[in-house]
Amino acid sequence: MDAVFEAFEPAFMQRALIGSLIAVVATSLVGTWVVLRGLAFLGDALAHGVIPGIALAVLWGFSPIIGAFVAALAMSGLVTVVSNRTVVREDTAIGLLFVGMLSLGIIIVSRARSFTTEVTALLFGDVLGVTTDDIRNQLIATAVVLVCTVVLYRPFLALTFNRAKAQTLGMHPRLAQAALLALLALSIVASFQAIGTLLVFGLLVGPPATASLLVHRVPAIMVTSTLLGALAVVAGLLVSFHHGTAGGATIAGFSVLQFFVVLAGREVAVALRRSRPAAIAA
Amino acid sequence: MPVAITTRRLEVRFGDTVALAHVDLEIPHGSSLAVIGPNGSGKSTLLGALAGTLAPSAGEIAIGGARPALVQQSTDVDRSLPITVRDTVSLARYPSLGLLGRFRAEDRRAVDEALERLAVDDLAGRQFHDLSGGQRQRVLVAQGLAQGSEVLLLDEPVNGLDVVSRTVILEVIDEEVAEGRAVVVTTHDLEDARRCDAVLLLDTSPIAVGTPEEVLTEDHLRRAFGGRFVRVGDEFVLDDPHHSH
Repeated sequence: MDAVFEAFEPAFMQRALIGSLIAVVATSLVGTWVVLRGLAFLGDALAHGVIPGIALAVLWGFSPIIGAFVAALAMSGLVTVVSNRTVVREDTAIGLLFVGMLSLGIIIVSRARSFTTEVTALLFGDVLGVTTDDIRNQLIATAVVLVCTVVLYRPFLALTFNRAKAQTLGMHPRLAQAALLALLALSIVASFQAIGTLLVFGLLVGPPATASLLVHRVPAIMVTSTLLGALAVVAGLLVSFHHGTAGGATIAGFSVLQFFVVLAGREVAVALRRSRPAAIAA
Repeated sequence: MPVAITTRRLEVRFGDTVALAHVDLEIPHGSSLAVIGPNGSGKSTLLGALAGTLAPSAGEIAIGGARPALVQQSTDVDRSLPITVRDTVSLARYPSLGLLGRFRAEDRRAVDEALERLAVDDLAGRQFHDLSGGQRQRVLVAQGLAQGSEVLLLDEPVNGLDVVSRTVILEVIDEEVAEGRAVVVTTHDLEDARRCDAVLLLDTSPIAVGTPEEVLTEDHLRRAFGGRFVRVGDEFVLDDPHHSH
């Protein structure tokens, strides 16, 4: 217990904890739909697609949050346009824009020589450098995600059930899909300062996927995912503090590790259940 | 009986491909229409156009009353969604509840009645995807009923089902027609088509529309299906390798 109190005594660690926990709320709410709708590749691509927006924001001196959000919206809009207007499949459109936006981000970064530190923080996060302003911005973005998730629960559920059914129920599947992509962008923006654009995907997919192994209702997946994400944050920050590992990467690593631990536990439980009747019979 | 569904020169295109053309229909309340035709003949396209999920490229559709209830095949539902049987049927109440409206007593009653009529009330707490194919299809029909629409559109509702599920669904369809609903059913089964008041034999455009006796003739079937049907006694049976009956 002393190790926990010691780790979270410094103010920067407390800010890291609060910032990461807020990120977990946003990513769990949106990540649940990402996992259930099969949007993992798009989520990953969007997480990288925000880089040119952030790079331009740093270069021109405006808010990286606005830059990231605009870049994510532009990317998700272009994915929709390419897949709707051409015979190109959606995953190909995502792949094209994923590489295109990443390349653009790196080109912009490579033109600015003093960018090395910012780029590292951008890609891998700087969880120990989370400021009070960052936390305030995260809180606003997460509050928007929370309200929209509650208000749009029915359209999202109907869309995930079946797009045509959603339309006949008046749940406007196109608008729901667009809103979901906007929330995905917002949750990435709300999290990248703490955990980085390369690793935010770990929180978007890891805890919701793990939760979906444990519980079988959408709201329960959201709540369980948030708890699992919080556990990954605390464990990740503790390991980072005591062993000097990169904070964001350790958190993301734990969130993915949870999935395989739960999966292995479930498989063992199933195997034991199957072997029991045989043992009784013997 | 007043007319529930009217279409005039209805046409649906996917790009340059005409999927459905020249469909003129008048379906009264309290009647059923079977839509039959080979694969790719436009049956599901017609259902989609009537349901409002596909926009007509030409012609008109007029549906009386509230939005029609579309009953899809259970394979159309995303398998990754964890959802109970009750929640699946409850989705049907969303049009009257909106985004945040609370479930009222009448909504719960509509869901309970639909579950009972399809004999899936004992499965209400089970996960939809844990059920057998026949049970899942009954749940989707219950979902259609719970919507309380005057028009019921069913996409191959008894295709390949077990005897119990097939019997339950066909009885419910008959009851819905008797209660004044207009029911449209797509099917590959001539026997199921004969149960309906009217039949539309489709091959992109209508080959024949009328009573089962008028439509399901050897000449019409040959035009729609080529040689893919056989005569058994006085009746015809489709020899369709893509469907399990």
